[in-house]
Amino acid sequence: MSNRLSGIILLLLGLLVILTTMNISLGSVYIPFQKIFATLIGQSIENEGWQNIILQFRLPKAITAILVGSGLGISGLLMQTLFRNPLAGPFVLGISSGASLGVALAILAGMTFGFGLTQMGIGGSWILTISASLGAILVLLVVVLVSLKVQDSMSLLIIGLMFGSATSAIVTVLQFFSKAESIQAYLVWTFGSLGGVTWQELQVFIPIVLITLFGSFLLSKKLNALLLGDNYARSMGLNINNTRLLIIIATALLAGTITAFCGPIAFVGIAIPHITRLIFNTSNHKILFPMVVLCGAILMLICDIIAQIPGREYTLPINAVTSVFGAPLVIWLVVRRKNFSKTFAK
Amino acid sequence: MAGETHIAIELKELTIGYRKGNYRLKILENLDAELHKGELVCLVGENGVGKSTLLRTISGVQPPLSGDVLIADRSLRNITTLELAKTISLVLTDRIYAGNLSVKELVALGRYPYTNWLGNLRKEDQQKIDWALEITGTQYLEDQLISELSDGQFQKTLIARALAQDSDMIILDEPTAHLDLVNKIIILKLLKDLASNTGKSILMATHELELSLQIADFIWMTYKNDKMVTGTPEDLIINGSFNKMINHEAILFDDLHGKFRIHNKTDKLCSLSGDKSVYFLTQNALNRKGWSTTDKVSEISINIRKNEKEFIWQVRKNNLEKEAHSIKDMLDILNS
Repeated sequence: MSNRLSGIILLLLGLLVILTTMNISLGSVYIPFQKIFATLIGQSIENEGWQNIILQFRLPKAITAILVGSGLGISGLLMQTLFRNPLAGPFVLGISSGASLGVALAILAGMTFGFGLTQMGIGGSWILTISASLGAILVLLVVVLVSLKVQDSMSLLIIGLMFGSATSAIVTVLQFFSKAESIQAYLVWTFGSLGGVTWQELQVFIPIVLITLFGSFLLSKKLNALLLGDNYARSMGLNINNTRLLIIIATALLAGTITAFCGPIAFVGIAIPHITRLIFNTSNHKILFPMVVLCGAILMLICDIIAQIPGREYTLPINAVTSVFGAPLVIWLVVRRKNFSKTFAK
Repeated sequence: MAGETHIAIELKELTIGYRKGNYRLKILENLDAELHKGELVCLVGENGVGKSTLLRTISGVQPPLSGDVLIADRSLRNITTLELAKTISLVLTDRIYAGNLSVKELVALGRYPYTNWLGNLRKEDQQKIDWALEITGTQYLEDQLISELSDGQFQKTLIARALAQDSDMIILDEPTAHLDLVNKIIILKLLKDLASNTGKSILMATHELELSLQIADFIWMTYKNDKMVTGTPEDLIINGSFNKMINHEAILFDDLHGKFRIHNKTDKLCSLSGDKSVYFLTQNALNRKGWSTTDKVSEISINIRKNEKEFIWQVRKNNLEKEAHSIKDMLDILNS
């Protein structure tokens, strides 16, 4: 590893720490920095309200932001390499549509049959998570079955998109027959949210994301071979079907879990791999991988800070912020690099 | 090397094509051919005749419909993907979806079958990569991104990657497509030198008929709806296989003496005399095998005669006289 690269990694790690602290410090309630620091290192402070805000709300939210940013970034990278398509993202296989369907069924159908989730409090949030997971798993199973049948990745991509459209259509039909308040509840879920994840949920969330991230890092040699296309990869001894299955499972675990806990968070998954490629000028997954994790976490923390609009009572939907803030960044990077299309293919 | 019959690739009644359910689309049928160790074989034929399908079958990407491919005397069916990766490397026309990969990273991917799960390069891998870069003359490019390369540089890099894979055989699909004439010759010369200097067997699909006459040890000539013909380029000219494929025989012969002729290093001498009509072809074959010719008396001499039916090459070597009925026989006698 070159000195320049180690330097950049150190810089990004520093940035990550600073942004995490900022993310926890800023919010609708002003808390002095010393108090925040004291709470974080485990001392108890006299104002229990502040302590609660920091430990029960802001800290889990910051951790969630980090997990979401790196997880979606990596699943986007996996999909872009597998499909050799710059427009691929974590949700091209229909994972988020599956989760949406699960949630739509829970909220819309649930309300129709008389058990309103909004009245169920904490239990309701688990029901949302479970129905999103079930939806994502269902789509995953279908995609895996299809991938065993279909030989080339391009067909799989199109089939994934079709699944997405079909599930969205079902959700539309459900919405059509639902009351305004349930549609509102469903819409709020689709805005995405980092703040709703509790410590209890993090106990499930953190291990799944970390283990899957580690597992997919082990694929980086195979991913590099895939850059040369299926024929070359096979000729170098790569088992294509096997690798494709592992990539799909890793992506589904990351994107599915994140969607289940935070709703369908758009844009980050597609943008972060591009931003990382453009900044570091490499296609080598052994370098891209840690960089996407870092950049993803950093970008998500920034978006969350913007979403809170320091000093105000409300927070913007995270989905809106990622796109409004991220799109100009990607456009700027692409325009600055005139031969962008070449960075993706030769 | 010559005289030995070390067979690298052998096709046995091979029928290739595609299957879909019970339906079989045959592309080429009953192919029989051999590729010997250290030889450069050009696979020629018009577009759509099935050259790429044949290469895909030999490299194990798609299964044969019937018959067999033997790689170093073993059936392709019994060779694992990883073993095959260490035996055959490919140079294809496929797009590479990573313009941001550096030349060195691309070449290093050739070490894929030998490295551990993370792809870490050991000293031996590093040496092979350096050797591949050096022999293809691409060291000076090693830190460049492949999106910045010219087509000629890119092709050399792909060949370097195949060399790093350290396989006995290299299969190339139209490695000179999109290249200008000079770069074409540079690439072909590189391949020819690789075959004769490193003992690698090279099978290459190409449309460069004139150039392949000058560098190929053997030509596999495919026809639509007809049997594949194999032989030295000159034998194929003599028996009319070339004329059968391209209707412009004049072009072929003119180009044989064209100005882009590759200079063959010669270190052996023989005298050549006789029938003028195949004189230049004989000379061409001799030059390719490292012989220069003279019309003065020499220890080894070749005289070309013609009877009503065919040409006969009389080879005198060590005061023994033998008759050859094809260039191949003549070369075999010379090397025996």
